[in-house]
Amino acid sequence: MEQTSTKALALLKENELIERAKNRDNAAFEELVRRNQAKIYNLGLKLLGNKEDAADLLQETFINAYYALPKFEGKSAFSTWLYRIATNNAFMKMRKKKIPLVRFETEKNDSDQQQVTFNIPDWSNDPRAHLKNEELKMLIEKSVDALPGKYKTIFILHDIEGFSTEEISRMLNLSISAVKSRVHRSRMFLRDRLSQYFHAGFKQGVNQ
Amino acid sequence: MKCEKYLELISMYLDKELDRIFLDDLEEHLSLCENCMAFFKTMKKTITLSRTYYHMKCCKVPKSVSTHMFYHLRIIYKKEKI
Repeated sequence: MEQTSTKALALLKENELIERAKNRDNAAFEELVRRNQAKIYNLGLKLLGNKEDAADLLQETFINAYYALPKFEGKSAFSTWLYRIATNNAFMKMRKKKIPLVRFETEKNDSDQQQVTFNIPDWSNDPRAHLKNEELKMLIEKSVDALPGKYKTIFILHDIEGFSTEEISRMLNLSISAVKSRVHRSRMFLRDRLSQYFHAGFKQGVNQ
Repeated sequence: MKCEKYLELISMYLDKELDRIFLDDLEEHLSLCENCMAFFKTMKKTITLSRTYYHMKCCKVPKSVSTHMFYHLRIIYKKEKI
């Protein structure tokens, strides 16, 4: 197939690029890669926590996408389809590294429920609750990293990337109620970690 | 309903996904229960802080990473042609 110049491709709409790329117009495929690579690289950084794994994930995702593209039916947005490939690749990497995918390792998950019957301080207006606070930033990252792989992925897709429950349910082949429950449990876990920091100070929150 | 039962509803309420039949009950409970209101506010703050933190951290793909990926993709195009 005749290849179009990079400048001309940059003006084309996504649907047009997909059709061309399906017919193995590689320049069109590369324009799709250029438009989406930052999303996938940043997803890799969030899910895997380091630049090397994020770079591997990026490459594997677009290689898989190249092979799978002829079967792409456009039932979801192209970027959602890419996220699906990327998250599956991320799960494989997590398995290899023996990162727990669904099991909370040492956390007492009923701590929030116990607290409800006692006293829950409202730290939402605490003067330390802002992102100029380096300790808090470190704690957020450490706490998200402590979530089991699948919970972390669902939390990031839902609360950070803004995908809907339905989209995530299709992306990960999970029921909507399973997605909702994992979003909730992840939030409970993170809120609990931040609460410990605001209750007891930085040392206790981060050293756990 | 005990407070524990409201926790998951609060999560759905934050996502504007709470069923109409639970909405009035939850809003009334939040107006009366300091603990659940504190839970609601701190849960909301947890999500906002996390979202903002990760959005601040977003970066461009390093040039060397991108170049390396395109190099491998071009090897694959050639393999497919054969």
